[in-house]
Amino acid sequence: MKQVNHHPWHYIGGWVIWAIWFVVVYGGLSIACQINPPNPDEGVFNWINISLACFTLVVIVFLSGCALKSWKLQQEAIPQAKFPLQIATAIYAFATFGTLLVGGAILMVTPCL
Amino acid sequence: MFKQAVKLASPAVAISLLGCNGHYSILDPAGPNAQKVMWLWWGMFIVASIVLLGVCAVWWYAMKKPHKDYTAKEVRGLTNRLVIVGGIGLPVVCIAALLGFGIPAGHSMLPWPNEQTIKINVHAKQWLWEVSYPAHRIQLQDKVILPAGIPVDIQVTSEDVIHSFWVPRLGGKIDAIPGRTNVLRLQGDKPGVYGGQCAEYCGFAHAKMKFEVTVLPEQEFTQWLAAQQREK
Amino acid sequence: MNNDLSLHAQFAKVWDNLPGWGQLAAVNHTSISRRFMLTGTVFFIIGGVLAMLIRSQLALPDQQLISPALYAQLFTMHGTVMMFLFAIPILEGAAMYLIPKMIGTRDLVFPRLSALGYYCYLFGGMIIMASLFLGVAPDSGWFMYTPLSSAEFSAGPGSDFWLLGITFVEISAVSAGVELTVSILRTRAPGMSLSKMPIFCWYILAMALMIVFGFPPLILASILLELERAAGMPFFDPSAGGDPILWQHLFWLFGHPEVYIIFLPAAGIVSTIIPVFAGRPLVGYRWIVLAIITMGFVSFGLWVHHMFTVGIPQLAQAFFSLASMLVAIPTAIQIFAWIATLWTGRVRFELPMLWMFGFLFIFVCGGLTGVMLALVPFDWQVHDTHFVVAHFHYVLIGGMLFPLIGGLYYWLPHLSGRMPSMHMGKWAFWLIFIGFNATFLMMHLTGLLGMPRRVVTYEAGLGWDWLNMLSSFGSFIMASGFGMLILDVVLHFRYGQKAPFNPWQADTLEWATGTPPTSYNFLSLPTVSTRHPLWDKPDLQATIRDGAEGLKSIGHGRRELYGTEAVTAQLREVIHLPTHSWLPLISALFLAALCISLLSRAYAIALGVAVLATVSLFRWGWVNGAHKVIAPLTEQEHQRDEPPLHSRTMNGPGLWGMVVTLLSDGSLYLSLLFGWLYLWTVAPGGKVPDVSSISISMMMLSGVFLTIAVFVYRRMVRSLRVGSANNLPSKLICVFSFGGLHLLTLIYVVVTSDLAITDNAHDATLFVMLMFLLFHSSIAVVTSGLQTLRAHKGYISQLLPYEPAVFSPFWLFTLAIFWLSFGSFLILPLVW
Repeated sequence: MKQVNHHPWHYIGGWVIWAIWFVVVYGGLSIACQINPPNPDEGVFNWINISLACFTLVVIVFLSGCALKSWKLQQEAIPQAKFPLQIATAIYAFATFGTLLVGGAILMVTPCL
Repeated sequence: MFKQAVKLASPAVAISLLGCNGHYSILDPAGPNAQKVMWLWWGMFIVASIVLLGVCAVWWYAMKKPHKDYTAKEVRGLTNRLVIVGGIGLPVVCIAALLGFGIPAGHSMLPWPNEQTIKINVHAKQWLWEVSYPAHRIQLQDKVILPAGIPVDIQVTSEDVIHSFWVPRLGGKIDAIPGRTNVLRLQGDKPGVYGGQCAEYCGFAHAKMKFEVTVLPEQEFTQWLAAQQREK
Repeated sequence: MNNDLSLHAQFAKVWDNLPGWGQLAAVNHTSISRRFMLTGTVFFIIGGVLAMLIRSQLALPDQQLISPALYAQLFTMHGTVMMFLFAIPILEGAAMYLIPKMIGTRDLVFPRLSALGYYCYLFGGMIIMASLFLGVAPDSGWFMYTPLSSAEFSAGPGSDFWLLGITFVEISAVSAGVELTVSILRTRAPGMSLSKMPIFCWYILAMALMIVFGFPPLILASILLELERAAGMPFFDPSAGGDPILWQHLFWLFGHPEVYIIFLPAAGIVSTIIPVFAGRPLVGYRWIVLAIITMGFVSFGLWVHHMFTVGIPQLAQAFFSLASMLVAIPTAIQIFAWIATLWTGRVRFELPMLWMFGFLFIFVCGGLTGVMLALVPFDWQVHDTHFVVAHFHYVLIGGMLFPLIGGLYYWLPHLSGRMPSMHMGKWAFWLIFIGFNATFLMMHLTGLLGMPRRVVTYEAGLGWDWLNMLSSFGSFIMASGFGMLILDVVLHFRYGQKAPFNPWQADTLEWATGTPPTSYNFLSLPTVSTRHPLWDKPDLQATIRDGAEGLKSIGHGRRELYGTEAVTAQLREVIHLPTHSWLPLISALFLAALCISLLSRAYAIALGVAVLATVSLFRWGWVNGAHKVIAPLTEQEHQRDEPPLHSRTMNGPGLWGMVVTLLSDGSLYLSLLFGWLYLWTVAPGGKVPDVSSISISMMMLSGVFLTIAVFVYRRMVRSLRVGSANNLPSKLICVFSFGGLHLLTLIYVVVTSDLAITDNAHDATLFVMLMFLLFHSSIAVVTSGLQTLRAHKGYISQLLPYEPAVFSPFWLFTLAIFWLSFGSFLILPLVW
């Protein structure tokens, strides 16, 4: 995993990924509901929720991987370089939590109704 | 003079504080949806009041308490405790509780497929409501008649601008949007007459765009339907 | 001493505004920001008077004080004035005043842009106010929902005033956003790395970037709606494939971040004041930085919570509901970090702290009702009732106005050189605090009893009577409090005690400028090594004043400041700024004339003024950059012990300004792309014609020409970067020619296309896309033509490689949007 370094991108990276995830999930849902809305009786086990959940899972794994990696980097870093890496760790962790929380709806709510 | 005013005003204040007299009061529900929201409100109100007073009290104490010198390590520990418990823990717990009650409540209000429901079309235009019962070819204006205890799907459309169909004592609102048909599931349990109004600003007579919903016992409703059709 | 005095006099000669009418040509950030704040206050008073009229009408049931038509104008204008003409500009003004001083520099990085921004704000505000005095003010509500605001249902010019006037004002907001971003990133005092930046700068950086990304959706929406009204293009008409919900999406895509754009700087004031009065550094600096970044992003993911009743799928509502609750966490983190700061500090209870406590109570209350509103089933009930009115006044007045007034008292000594008094200030606080809560606390109940928003009157006997009476009564108490506040501030300018140096014992550099500050802030520019320069070096003000710090040469007559690395703040270059100029005022006047002629539908005149505005803007560009009046090449510049002037480098502030502007432009383009995809897939009547009415092959040809032009341009920039300026003019001519061919082909495509722009939204959207491309390509081609001339005149050369580097991203952007549009607007529907 080479995805985390000292670049200032990591100040915002976590939330940018979250934002892209959010747009894809919201946009995908809106379009999916136009194309082929599942029967509400299926509950959450329908093609839309399942594919959104899989995508969300991938994003969560990636974000938490980034958080872990930047955590490790910041432990080894010299004091001057700690600040950006600490922020990056927290941002990735928070974005993971944000994805988990908002994505949690996919497991609980029927789409398209 | 002042005492008299107080005497006159206090019953009015007491009644509206309880929210029981309102023709449009969310706090005086007459159907299951409105009732759930009312309980959500009182729950949220109590928790929010506690949080508000608690946070203000902690702030005030922090400002007024006798000064003490803290070491850098103590400061860090205190900050992390305060921020993690208050800044993260408190909202997370509140959100979890809110969702625990809110999601099932919202779930039950949706227009789930249900053969028992009665479908009513409501067509909004500046500034009146055209109500029709497609299965029975009945037309009404600014008036909706519902059977008690049976879910009804209101299919809302608009002729011109955006309006919003709202009967506070029965449940939430839904917008009437040109080009779309929105469905609102409502149910009245208590027979009676309830106020409805347009909730989205729709032009100069917005404030006058009101209607009435009459909930009849099921039997009377059937009779009413039959009477209407005989008139035809 | 004599020597020092003359040094100050020399600095003043270079930096001071022109006297008399010349003040109108001022570009200095202290002058401009004061004008912003003063104008904002005037609009606040106007907005407040409108609110008083609304409350008078609602005081009693069945009242007929104000007609429904006038009432609609009043509530629309109240919201519009408070949001667009008061809140945003006054906070930007405060940021423009403080930021350069806090980061230890002499001015903002694009001073003429500040002046243009101010004039656009002033003229735009005056145009909008004119509608009120002419009795034709917009009357569809501040969120201007179409179709109510469309030509069919608002035939008068009211909506046009809103759409054109607000867009005009937004130029000012976006330009301030760009300028603040670049200033914070590139002109911080040497050594002030991001981690040592005053926390206020983090807040303003986030706010500025949010403006850059958040305003374009509304600008696009306004353009589309104005095109629908004026030219009949049916973007929002469902019978022609449009959708009124598209307006709501674009509006709230701007509208929700807007709330945080207003809240963040105010929270920045809180984070600045609390540590000063707690007498210790802010604890949890990193927590707060985390919270700021988080709020900046998450606030863009909330907009649909204003639209829970429009019939969007349940799961989508759940996403936005949860994201709205998520944003409570960074807010709570900040509040508890402030509490921790107070807890571990030694608190002095001065006037600003009273406002901080008022802020806490009101804002937390508003935040809690906000979490309630995020819960979808509850929102279905209280949406568009007075509960919501109460909620957002708690958030906005608590979250913005209270900190702002606290900040006003805190920085008053800086503005006036005099101390505020506790007496009247306390009275004003309590009147406003009690008046506010009397107005709005019980208004929550009014909403719960079912009173909708924006009703001109109500029947008696619904339980709403005494609540409305109370609200109206409270609002007049609040108004008297504001009257007292204004009186207090005005009197203090005359009777206040002289302020000592750094009266509150603050830690940040703005207090080292002296009170009131000089036009150049710092005679010599400090180097910073900690987060609290004035606490760690109490004699810093003296060393700055005595010229013992950096960049104190002034004999050259240039306005100069240090440019530093964005992250580490290592010294990079000396930035030379343009001085006072009439061009911003002239350009703004032409733009205002354009706005007025569009309003009166005098399109021939509009075209003429548009040409004049363009000419004056290009003239402005011509005498800028490395032009000889700005910074002629001299021998002396190499002899002093300073880094090179920025126009001799390739990574100056201009490049950063360009990139940030293009981010904003990109946000506009993405909004258009979103609109396109939305109308295609989600709009009820949306459909794509089977045959494209645009010639694909000619578009491709045009794209090929563009690609060649951009390729040549970027190669030229690359060789400049390695120091080679061979054949510069001929390369630029090559770019100009290929760019011209591209432009001509594009014009040919537009002219020969068979778009039915008034019949269906699909073709109208394609037309807007083509105009967007045409606009960018024209600017790119004309500018490259002018650059050829500049190369001839020697303003672009091996020694002056600055300008092509600045313009290069613009070409790249033009290329990117061309092929992106080609792919998504033209090819995607065909292959689908």
